[in-house]
Formats: sequence, structure tokens, C-alpha cells
Amino acid sequence: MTTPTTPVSRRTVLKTAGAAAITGVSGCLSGQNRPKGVTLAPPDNYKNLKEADLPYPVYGEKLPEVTVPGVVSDRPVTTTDFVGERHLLLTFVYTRCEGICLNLGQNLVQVQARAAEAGFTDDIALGAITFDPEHDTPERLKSWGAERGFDYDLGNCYLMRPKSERRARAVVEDTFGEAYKHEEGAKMPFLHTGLIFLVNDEGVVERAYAGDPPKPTTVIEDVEALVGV
Amino acid sequence: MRRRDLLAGLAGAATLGTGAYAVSGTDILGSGTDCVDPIELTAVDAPGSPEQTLTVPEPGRVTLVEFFATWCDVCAASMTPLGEAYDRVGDDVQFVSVTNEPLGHAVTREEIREWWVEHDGNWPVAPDEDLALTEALGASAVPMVAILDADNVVTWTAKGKHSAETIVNHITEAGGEGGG
Repeated sequence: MTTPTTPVSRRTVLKTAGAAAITGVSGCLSGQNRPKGVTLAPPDNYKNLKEADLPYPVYGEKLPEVTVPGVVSDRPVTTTDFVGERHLLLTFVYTRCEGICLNLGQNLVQVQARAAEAGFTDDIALGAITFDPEHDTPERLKSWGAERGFDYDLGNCYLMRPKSERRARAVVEDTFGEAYKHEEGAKMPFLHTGLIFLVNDEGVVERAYAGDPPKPTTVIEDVEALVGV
Repeated sequence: MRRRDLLAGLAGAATLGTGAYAVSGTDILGSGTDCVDPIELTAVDAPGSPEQTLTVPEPGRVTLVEFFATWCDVCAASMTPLGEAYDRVGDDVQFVSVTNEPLGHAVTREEIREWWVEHDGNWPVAPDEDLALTEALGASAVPMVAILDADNVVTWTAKGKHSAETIVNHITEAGGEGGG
């Protein structure tokens, strides 16, 4: 590192210290450091997330673009189709899962219900991509969603099925960073990260909920803050 | 942290898409000392569940709340041990099963009643219509059980299915009778 050639005035130092103090107290990033295109305040652990070199996009990063066949409308869905139109809540599931996928899906159902009730259905899309296309036929995936409570008539549900196992790996893990391990024969054949992305209508990730499924109220509050209701 | 590290981390976690998820007794809140403000729920008219306003958790009585969903197989399988536990503790303990599926969207009161009949429930059951109890008890998954003492302090929470023995033991620890 080189020595700064411009002398730093006392006033600048004080200004910087002041800004640092404000940042410290509020826990927020200053306008200059905040990523572009986000609406929500940074998540509490943003600094760690940013430094962790995670394989999935976090707060302030663009959602990757990928096109996957849809099973609700039978048309391909491109993840960037929603840019300029709607915010997007996107997750990754397999229908044989008796654990986390159920609760990931349920978070989307909760948001769909709240949106319908509060009148912001047009502002939010719900998406789920399977990483088990061999088992998850379009029919199975569609009925799985219906059983969980997705209302397809509202026109904001996008269930997606990559055409092959290989393509699923490329889309789900390589593109979005939802890491998974496939062990056929196990009671639940996939071990996976358990991600939900909340992406704003500019295609920027506002939240990447990972690990334990988030509380439905947390996701609803974040979506409502984004929609502005 | 790249893929390998993530998966290594996952292997130790009991909360993910593995068989362990459904049977683990992961503590969520730990040993909390804050009391939970009671929430009013409207019970579904079903066996053992007259249609009335329930105050959950009920002050002055040990309370057991079981969060479930009508689409959840592990929740269905949990009904037998829960029923056994209920039979053993009787009215000494407030027993209530709560679904936080969005009412009128994913499920109706009639569907909850049908599920209740099908799975031999015979204690109060109610939807958490505005997710207030879900929020208060931090229920991010189903099934999840929470036991609170007579002061409405959470003494145990766990995901998954548990034996009647385990449930009754935790009720006893919370000060409920449950000896019978």
C-alpha cells in the first residue's frame, strides 16, 4: 500500500469518524457503501456474508439469468423475465422431501396468501425449481404445489423443472449456488442448503435466506417492505 | 465458503432435507425466560374442540402448542403420541394444535375439521390466522411443539415427532401433572 499523498484535513477525519459512529449505532451501511439497486436495509450479518465468498448471490448482487421449463403454464420461465415487472421469491425443492422443502414451499404460499389478501398479487412472483426432475414429473410438481396451497389461478406461481438431472445440477447448484448432495436410496435422497431468494424488480437480491427455513412472518415483512405496503 | 464447505456444514445439521429433520428434537429457543403474551385464537368446531375463543398460552396452566399443517405427513404421524400424552395429562394442561396455513387460501375450517377427524384429534384445534402465535413462538417449520409453564415461559420447543413419554416428561418439567 502506498502512502497517501494528499494531506487529510482534521475536518475530513472528523466527518469520517462521525459517519463511522452513525454506522456503528444504526448498524446500517452508509449510502456510499450500500450496494446499488437495493431497497431493504442490509441484513444484520451482511459484512460476514459478503466476506464469506458464498456460492450463492447475497444482498445487493444480481440474480443470475437462466431459463427453465415451467410446469404451471407449460412455458419456459426466465429468471430475469420479472425485471421491471415484479419482485420474485425463488426457492429450490424436491417433492420427495419430507423436511425443509415443505417449509420452504410454505413460506412462498404464506406470501402468496398475504399478497392476495392485501392486494399486491401483481407485485410478487413465487418461483420454485426442482433439482429432482427424474422423479418430479410436471404433473407431480404441479400437484405438490397445489397440495401445499399454491393458487395457480392467481397467475403468480412459477414451478420449474429442468429437463434432466444434469441440467438441474447446472441450474440449481452451478448457477444459483444451492448446493446439494444426491444419495439415491436414502430416506430423503437430497441434502441441500435450503435457500430462498427475495429478488427485487430490478433483479437484485434483497435477501438470501439460508439454512433453517425463515419464519413466515420474517419473509412476509421483508416482502411488504419491498412492495411498500 | 464454497460448495464443499457448505455441504460439510449441512451434514452435521439436523434441520435439513434428511431423515433426521423429521425426528430430531432440536431446541429452538433454548432455555428462555421471557414470557409469551397470550394470543386469542378461534377454535375449529371439531371433536374435542368446541368452537370458542382460546387464549394461548393460557396463564395459570401449563400449555402445549403443536404447530401442524394438513399437508404434513410427519404431523399426521405425530397425532398418535400427542393423543396418548393428552390422555395422560388431561385438563391439567392446555393442549392445542395450531395450523398456520393461510386460512381461506391454502385451507378452510372445514378442511381442518376433516383432517382432525381423520387423525383422531380430541383436543382444541385452531388456525393461527394472522401468524401472531407463530411469530411469538418462532415456529418456522412443522411439526413443532412448544411447552410453556404456568407463567407462559417457554420451557421446551422441538421440531419433529416425539414419543408420548418425551412429551409428558417435558410437561412434567414445566410443572404440569402428567403423572397418570
